[in-house]
Amino acid sequence: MTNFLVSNYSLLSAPRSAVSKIQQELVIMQKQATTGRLADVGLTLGLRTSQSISLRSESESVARQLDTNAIISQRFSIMQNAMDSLAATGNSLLSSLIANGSGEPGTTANIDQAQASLQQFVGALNSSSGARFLFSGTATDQPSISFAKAGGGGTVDTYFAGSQAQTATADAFAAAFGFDQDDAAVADISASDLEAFLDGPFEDLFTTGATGGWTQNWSNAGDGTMVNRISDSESVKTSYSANDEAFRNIAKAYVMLSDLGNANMNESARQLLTSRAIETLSKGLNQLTQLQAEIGGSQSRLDIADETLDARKNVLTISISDLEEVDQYEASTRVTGLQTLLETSYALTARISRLSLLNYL
Amino acid sequence: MSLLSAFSSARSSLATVSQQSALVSRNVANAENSAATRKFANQTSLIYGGVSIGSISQSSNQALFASMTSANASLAAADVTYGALNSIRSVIGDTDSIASPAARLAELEAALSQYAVTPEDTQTARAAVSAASDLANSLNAATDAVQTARTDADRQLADTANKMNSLLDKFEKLNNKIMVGTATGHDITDEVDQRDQIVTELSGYVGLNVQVRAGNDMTLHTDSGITLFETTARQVEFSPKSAYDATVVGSSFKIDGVSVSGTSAGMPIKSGSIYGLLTFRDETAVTLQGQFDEIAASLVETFSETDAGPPATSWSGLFSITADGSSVDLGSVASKAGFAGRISVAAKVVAEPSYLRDGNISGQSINYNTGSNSGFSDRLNALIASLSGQRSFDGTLGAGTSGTIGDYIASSISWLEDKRSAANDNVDYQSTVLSRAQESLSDVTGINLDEEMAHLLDLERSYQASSKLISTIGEMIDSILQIV
Repeated sequence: MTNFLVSNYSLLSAPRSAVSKIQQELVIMQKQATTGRLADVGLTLGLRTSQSISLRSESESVARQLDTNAIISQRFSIMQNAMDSLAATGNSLLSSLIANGSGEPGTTANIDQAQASLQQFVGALNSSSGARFLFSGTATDQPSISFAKAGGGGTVDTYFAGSQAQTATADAFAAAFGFDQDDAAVADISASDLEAFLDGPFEDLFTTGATGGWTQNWSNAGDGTMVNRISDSESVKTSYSANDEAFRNIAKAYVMLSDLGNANMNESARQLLTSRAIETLSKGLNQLTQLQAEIGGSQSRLDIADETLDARKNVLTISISDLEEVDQYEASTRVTGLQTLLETSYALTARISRLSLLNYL
Repeated sequence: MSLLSAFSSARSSLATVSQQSALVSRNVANAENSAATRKFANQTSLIYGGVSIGSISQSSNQALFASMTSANASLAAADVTYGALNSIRSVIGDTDSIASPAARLAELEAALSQYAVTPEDTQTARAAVSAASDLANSLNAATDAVQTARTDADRQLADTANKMNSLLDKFEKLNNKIMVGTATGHDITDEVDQRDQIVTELSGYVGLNVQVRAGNDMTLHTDSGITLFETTARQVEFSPKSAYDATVVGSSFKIDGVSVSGTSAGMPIKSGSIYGLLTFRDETAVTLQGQFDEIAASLVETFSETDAGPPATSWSGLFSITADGSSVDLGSVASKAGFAGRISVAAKVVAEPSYLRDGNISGQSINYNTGSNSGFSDRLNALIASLSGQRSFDGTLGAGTSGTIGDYIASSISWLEDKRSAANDNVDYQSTVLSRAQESLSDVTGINLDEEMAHLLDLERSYQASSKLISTIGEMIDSILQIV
């Protein structure tokens, strides 16, 4: 004999399992309604999880590219500032030279200004950002310009504080003329001798390379090129070196005016020196402008790259939210629906359990 | 026919009614026991109109019972699979988890980019090295999770084997009792219930094919046909491994001397928790470990340093695969198995992070920064490019054949989530099937209190009528005696 009724067990287990199902779903929906994100992203997306992960790592990589671009951009700005101040100092010396001419009081003023300008030059080239010296090329941990103490043993702060560079200039001068820069005999130097000195031994003091005077006495900068990526496909040159001709010319003009015994020279030699200094300084300043233009070009490329990256980041963020996020409004409506369902289920369970023949016996 | 025969009929009715009441109370007592079936009495008419209980039967439905046990087996398989995958997934984490290998890789790329922009800064160098070490740790943790899950599966299999053996012993005793009872006509309904309960329990471990033969003798086979019980219980054998790593192969699970899964198994089972556990231990977890090893091997290769040769030899660089963090010739490493568990950041770089910028982590004089420039970023840029470059992967592991390392990690996680999602759907489906099967079975074989109560009312009336009969017959006999 088999039953054709419903057994007591299944009568009560049906609403019981319904209640537990509804409760499980309620937990999930509540979480989605409050967080606005799928309760279990992997479980819902399944095989599509890789899309979400790829999007996230892409968005992460865009964010980090923006971060590093910001660092590069900040450095470029500092470099531009330094070069602006270099140019300003150079230009003001240039106008003084032209205004003061080669007369006696003007010359002293020129010498003083050239000395001050040389110090400003060193300060500007030694600009740093964080742990990096910006004009050191690839040798970024070294200050671009540093003066070794004459005779060895440490460094000195300025060119005029007994530096090896100063000694090299003095030695070259003595070798060419047979006396020091402050000797009274300086007045006897002819313009043609001076010109020969400027084109020969003095020029050698500002050349680069292993035996070059600039590399030995002035600069620590490395000459290699450093490139950094600013987007997936673009890179910019980020290393600029104090060895650039622009800087050497400016330094050369400053030293010419301040350390070659200008004060004691005869009129024709002084005129030659002044005109050569003006020529060298103008050349250096022009080259500096070119360098600034080059960096400016990189800066604008950087800006464009940043804009593209920003736009991409937005798209990626939206794509991620499309995949992982839920409509909170819908989720909360579902929560309300489930609550009603749960209450109905409770009411049913209570009623069914009250139904019994025993009540009527 | 006589008064006396009427008296004895009424008396037999009283006896039957009291026996039936006992049955009703047995049924009522088991109303909430899902395994209990409804018992009922088979009545036999005696000559001269008496009645007696011939035998006790129970309601049963073999077809529904079979579908219930098979649903139970499938659910058990889905359940253990889902549980094991969940335990691994909790280590790998959600898509927005910062500890997942995918997020760690993105962080390493970010740290390397920062380092490439500020190569002179030791702090950024340290940050890059610690990002690398985080990535290695997350792969180590993922490996641990996989191997722990395998060890757990192994323990559960060992427990299952013991449990099954004891259940089969019990089954054998009950089956013998039932056969004897059936032959001698005893009430064996409770034993049958118990035996069915053991079958249900066994079906959770392995899918069963149940057959009842003449004399109420039951035989049990696995769904693949391996004998579990026929006249006598068969031995279930399993010896667990003490610990697992990527290279350990689990021992086989044997019923009646036959291996139940694996490539060598002639009759592989298809459901039950044993099936779920063995599939996880020997296939799913092994594949996943293979994917992690593939990721680790790609990382080691990406950061390797190649000397000029000839022939050019690759040495492990930033990522080391030796216990002491030293560099090895990658050509001499035969198998990638276990890379993800062993990968770490080379000891030399941990001590001095700038090796990452300059090269020569391998100690083979492979120096990239020949000018010793502090602003040297070529090697770092090359490493970043290489990290986001396309590579090929072992396609047999199911996570794709080519892409970047990031893509492969994403597709490996995706592979896991897909399995987990499928297992979850399966658990949902099978639990619905099981509860439907249980309800249908219970509807057909279970107990309804109202019905029992109604039956009790019948019995009460019958008892009252029989009693009335006896008292009336008694009065009649009395009046005859008075006449005499």
